[in-house]
Amino acid sequence: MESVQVDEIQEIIRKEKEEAERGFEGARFDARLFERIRKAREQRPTAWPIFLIKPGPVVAFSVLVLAFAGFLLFRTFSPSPLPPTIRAMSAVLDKSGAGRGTSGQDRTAQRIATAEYTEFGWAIKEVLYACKRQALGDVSMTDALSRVFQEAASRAASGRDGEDALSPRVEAPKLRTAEDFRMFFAGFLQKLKEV
Amino acid sequence: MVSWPENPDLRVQTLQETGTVISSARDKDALFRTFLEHKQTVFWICLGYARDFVEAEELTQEVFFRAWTKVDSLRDSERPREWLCRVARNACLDHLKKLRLREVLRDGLSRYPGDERTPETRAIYRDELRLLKEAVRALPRKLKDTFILRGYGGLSYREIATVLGVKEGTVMSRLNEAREKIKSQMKGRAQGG
Repeated sequence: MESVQVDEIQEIIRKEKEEAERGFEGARFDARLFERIRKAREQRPTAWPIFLIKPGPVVAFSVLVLAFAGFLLFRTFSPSPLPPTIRAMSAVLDKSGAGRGTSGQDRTAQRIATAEYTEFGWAIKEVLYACKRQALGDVSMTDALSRVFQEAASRAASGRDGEDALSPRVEAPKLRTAEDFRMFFAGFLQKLKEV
Repeated sequence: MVSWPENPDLRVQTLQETGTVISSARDKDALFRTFLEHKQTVFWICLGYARDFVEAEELTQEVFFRAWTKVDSLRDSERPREWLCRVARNACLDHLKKLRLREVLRDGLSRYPGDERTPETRAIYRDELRLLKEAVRALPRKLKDTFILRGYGGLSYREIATVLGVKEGTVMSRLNEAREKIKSQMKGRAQGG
C-alpha cells in the first residue's frame, strides 16, 4: 500500500458496509428493539412513586378533603343545642308516651289534646297578666314564660346570696340566661303538645 | 443483502403487530416512526465507530432506545435525522470510552462473515480494513466525528455542521485534515509492517 487515495478509503468503507449488511438481520433487530422498549415501558414509574417523590400537592388536597368531611360530620352529628335539663325532661315525657298506638281513636284524642293545649295556653297568659299587671303583647307563650321565670330565678338567686354568704356555694342552676329559659320552655311545651 | 423497508408504513405496521405501543402520545409515536426511517444511516455511523457489524448492531440498538427515551427533548426546530445522528454519535463515543477499542481492535475484526473472495484477497482486505479502523480511531475526536459522519453515514456538509454545531467550512476543513491523517497513518503502518 504505497499510496492511499481518498477513493481507496471509500472503497474499503464500501466493502465493510457490504459485509455488515450481509450479517445484519433487520427483522431480528426490530424485534429486539420493540421488546426492549416494551420492557422499559413496563418498568416505568407509575403515578404512585411520583407521589412519593413529590407528595406536597396530594397531601394538601387530602387535608382539604378531610377538613371538608370533618366539617360535614360535625354538622351532622353535633350535639343538640338543647341543654341537658331539657333532654332529661324529654326522656321522661318519652317514657310517659311509650306504647301508644296510632289508631283513629288516638288521633281523635290528639286533636282534643291540641285544642285543650291551646286553651291551656290562653289560661297561662291570663295568669301571667295577673302576676305582672301589664299586657304581655303579641309574644309566644314560650317567651312569656321564660321572661317570668327568669325574673323569679334572679330574685331567688340574689336572696340566697344575701342569706348564705358564708356557706359553701351551691352549684348554680343550668338555666341561667334568657336563652336557656326560652329553650327549656320551648322543649317543654313541644313535649307537652306531643303527649 | 439486508432489505431495508422503504415504505415507512410497513415499519409502523411492524410496530403495531408486535403489540408495542411506543407512547400514549401520538406525537412521540410519529417521531419514533421518523427515526426508524433513518435506521440504515444510524447503522452506518455506528459501524464507523465500532469494531465490526455485531458491535455496530448493538450500538444501533442503544441509539434507538436512547432516542425513544429522549424523544421528548427533540425541539421543534430540529430535524429528526440530524438529532438522531447526534444521539448516535454520543452513544458511540460513550461506548468507545467503555471498551477502549484500541486495545481489542484485532479481536473484533474476526467477526465479519465470509464472502466469495479468495482467502488471499480476503486477507488483504482485512488488513486494509484493520489499518483503516486503527487510523480512524487514532484521529482526534473532532476529526473522527466528521470523518465517520461523512464517510460512513453519508451526511451532507450541512447536516454534519448541524450535528456537530459548527460551520460548513469547518466541516470541510476537518474532513480534509482527517483524510490526510488517515492516509498518512495507513501508509506509515503499511510500510512499517
